[in-house]
Amino acid sequence: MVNINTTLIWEVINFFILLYLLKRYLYGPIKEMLEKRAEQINGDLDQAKSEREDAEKLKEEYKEKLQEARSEAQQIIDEAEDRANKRAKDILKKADEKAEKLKEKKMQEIEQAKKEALTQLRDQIAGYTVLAAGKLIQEQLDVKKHEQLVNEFISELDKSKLGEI
Amino acid sequence: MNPGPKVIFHLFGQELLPVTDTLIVGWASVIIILILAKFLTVSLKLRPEGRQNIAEFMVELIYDQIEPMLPGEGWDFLPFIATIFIFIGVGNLVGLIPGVTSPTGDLNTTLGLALVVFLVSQYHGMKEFGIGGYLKGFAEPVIFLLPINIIGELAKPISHSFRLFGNVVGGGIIMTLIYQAAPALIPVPLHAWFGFFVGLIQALIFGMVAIAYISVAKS
Repeated sequence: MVNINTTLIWEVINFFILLYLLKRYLYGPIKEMLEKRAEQINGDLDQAKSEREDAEKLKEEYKEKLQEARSEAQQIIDEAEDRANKRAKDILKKADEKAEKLKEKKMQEIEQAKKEALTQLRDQIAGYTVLAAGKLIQEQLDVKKHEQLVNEFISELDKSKLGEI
Repeated sequence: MNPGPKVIFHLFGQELLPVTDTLIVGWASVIIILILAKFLTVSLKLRPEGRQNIAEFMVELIYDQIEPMLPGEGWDFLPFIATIFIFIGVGNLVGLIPGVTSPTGDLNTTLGLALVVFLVSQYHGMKEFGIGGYLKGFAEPVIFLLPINIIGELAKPISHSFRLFGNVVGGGIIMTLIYQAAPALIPVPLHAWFGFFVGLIQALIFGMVAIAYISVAKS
């Protein structure tokens, strides 16, 4: 039952052949795969970390930029408001001046027109006076009297033989 | 009843080169293990699936046994220890097949492996402390203990090999007796116990003891 023979050597050779082949086909590839996986997971974690840090930095940067942009916009708005206020004041002032000028001009024109109207009125009054005087005279000389006067004149002309020419 | 290994034929007809049934089963075990290993690792991917998971689980399971005993050297000793475990495990399990004798039921197999473990542990001990330093370790703590330490060291491969051999052969003898005494089917659970459970446990113990011997030699 217990008999030491060459089987011992054969089994040891078996063992070493198995050791070599399993190392080559089982442990080696699996170890490599496990290490590769660990490496990749580590790499992915590192990458994720650095990416998160980058993102954090970018966020901070954008926040700052946004703040800057906001204050700049506020400044621009303030400036524009100031300018607009100033301009509005200018416009009002100019409008006032213009209105004043226009008023003065119109007043002058009114004065002129007044003067002209007075002159015209004077002239017309004179004309009317003449007309009225004429009418007054006309009313005193009626048509028949006129004809009589004209006829008397003509007959006198006849008498002096002047009508024979 | 003769539970020992039977000589099937003699290699090249030489009386000194007997080939026993246990040796043939040993060769068959090696081929089965290699086919299984190739099958489990036929397409390794970064994202494991199916059989790759089984292969990785087994390798990591063995690695987890080695690493605490030999810190930082788990991967260095893994091929050696894992091959012991797998070879003995499969060698024990093939004994479950009726008519097949376990290669581990032959003292030649267990003693051969135990001697390999013994030499490996001596080598690592000498590598760790130097030949002189390692040999001096046998005379510690007092020179008086030198013979006892040497006997203790030489007893290691003997106890190591006989433990496995005795368990497998003992289980085989008990099973043979029960099969002769009891009707069919009743011995089946017992057969499963001795073949499957004791077989795997003994493979694990053989591997763990190998780790322990190397670890002790290195410290």
